[in-house]
Amino acid sequence: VNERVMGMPLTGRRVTLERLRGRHLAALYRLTHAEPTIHEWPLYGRHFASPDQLGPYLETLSHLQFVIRQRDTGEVIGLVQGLDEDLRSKTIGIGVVLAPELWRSGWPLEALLVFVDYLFRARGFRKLYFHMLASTLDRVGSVTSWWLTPECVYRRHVLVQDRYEDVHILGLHRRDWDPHNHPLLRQLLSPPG
Amino acid sequence: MTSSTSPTPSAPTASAPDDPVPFLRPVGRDDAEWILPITGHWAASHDWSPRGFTASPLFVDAVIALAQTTDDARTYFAVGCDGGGRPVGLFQAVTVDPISATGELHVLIDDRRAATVRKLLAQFLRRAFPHCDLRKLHLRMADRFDATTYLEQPGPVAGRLTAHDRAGRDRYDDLLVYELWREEAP
Repeated sequence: VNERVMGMPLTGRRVTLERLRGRHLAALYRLTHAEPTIHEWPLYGRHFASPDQLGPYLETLSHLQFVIRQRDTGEVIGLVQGLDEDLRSKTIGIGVVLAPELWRSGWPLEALLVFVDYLFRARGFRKLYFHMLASTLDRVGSVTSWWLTPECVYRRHVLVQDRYEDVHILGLHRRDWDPHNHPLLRQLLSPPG
Repeated sequence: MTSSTSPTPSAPTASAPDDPVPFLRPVGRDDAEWILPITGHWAASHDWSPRGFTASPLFVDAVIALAQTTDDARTYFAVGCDGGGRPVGLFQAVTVDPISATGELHVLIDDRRAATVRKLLAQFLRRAFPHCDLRKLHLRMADRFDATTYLEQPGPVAGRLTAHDRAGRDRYDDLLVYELWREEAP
């Protein structure tokens, strides 16, 4: 299913975003409760007894969330969330969950870029934020450095496996979002087919 | 590691009415009468919990109802009053993560009586940290404000959120994020 939301097709070349529904919860439950994702966003070590309990928790975090589905297999591979939206200043944070086996793959970035494009163009947000564990930033920093700006470091902020990790806040202004003049972004965001 | 169990409730206790020093007291149903008018002004509601929503009376009632749940370790609320007993502001420790023992400090200040905020905020921090069993609170403040007006000991600045907060038409303030650590609380 290639959904259109607010008039935009939320589809890239290899992934599509779908509004979170009850039928997605079993897959998201497996994904978020596996090692090592359970220690990262959005659970940060919490454990729910069943997928039915995960749904309300995700809903308390965000009313703007989509699962990431791989187009060729139909598999749910992650979740993107809009967090802590500020309607006056038109800012919003972004949370991302991705299957661990894909963390070193480049192509799932496409889902994030589709979501960013949707927030800027369809929802009119002016600035976006990404909260990232220091260990995650170490892992994916090369992917973020060319389009996100470091703005803040929350020191010893999140308890991850019995030690406190820093959380980095990276920002992106709409004025700096110009995918159609960036070859890689243009390629990733080009419509399928 | 910090505990995530609920600490003993510690509702703010009011001083005697003729006490000349600023004091904290619990939030009451009648507080809607002073909260509602100031939420109509952007400057006062700067970075308050609704984050850009226009606060309806029902919303304010809901905040007050939450504030009166004093046995909930995930929040801590108090009204700060000047020496004459007039409300100065609503102080909130919210968005508490009990696992990591962190939270956010939100304040709603009546600018006409802001002179006593620093003392009140210090009192609030002394109570909020143990009540919610927190290690750290974050406070976001526009960089045009002098942090020492509000904080006796401004903690380290975690960073600057550039052009974040709408301050007028096509005008946005940077926000400074302060980290307020429990061991450094006044």
